[in-house]
Amino acid sequence: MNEPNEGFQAQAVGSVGEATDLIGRLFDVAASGAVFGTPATSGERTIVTASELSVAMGVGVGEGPDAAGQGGGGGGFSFGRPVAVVIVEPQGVRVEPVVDVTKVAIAMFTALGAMFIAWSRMRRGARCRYRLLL
Amino acid sequence: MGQLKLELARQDGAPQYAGLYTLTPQALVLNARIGSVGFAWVWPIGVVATRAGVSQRIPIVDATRWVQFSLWFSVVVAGLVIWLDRRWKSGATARKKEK
Repeated sequence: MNEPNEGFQAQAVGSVGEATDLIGRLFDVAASGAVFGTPATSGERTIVTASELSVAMGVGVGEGPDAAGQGGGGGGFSFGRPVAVVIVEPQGVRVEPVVDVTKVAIAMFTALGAMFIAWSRMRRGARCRYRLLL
Repeated sequence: MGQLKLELARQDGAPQYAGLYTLTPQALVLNARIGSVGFAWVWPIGVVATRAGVSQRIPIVDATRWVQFSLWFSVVVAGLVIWLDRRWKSGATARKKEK
């Protein structure tokens, strides 16, 4: 664990106060500046990526009776997804949306599945009611 | 557990210089916090492009999110239509039987 790890930072949290400070710093990371990438220039065009960003973190610290033992734990996640690309050209500035095909496909299959289940259950229910009437 | 703190705010980021333009990013920030558990969600809503003192706001639309919402909405509508149709048909069958 003592090996240097580029891009990863481990920090020991000793008390609830420190844990609260750490959570406070989480909101500094998720600022509006974080969703826009560094401008990349190629020829006359400059491109800036705009992304959605979500970060979550939870930390807990506990102590035994008479401070006999102390322990804690924490975890979190971060998620980013490109939403659009801002293209700066000599003619002007335009925004091109980025469509996540995988997400759309998953949502579509889930929607179709839900519709099929609802339809088949209602059909079965209607058949049962019809038989009862006969 | 502490109290739930919810905050939704619009934030303007630091201006970035791209070619002749100055781009000011705009984003919506949602912060939620309960004790030592925190959640932050930031998504871009637009960019203000300024050139020679003239500013233009260009909105950023999350196409993926809109497609997802449309699909979920269509499921709700389709479910409602199927349910109403079945209910109407079963009522009609019962009325026919009574006659």
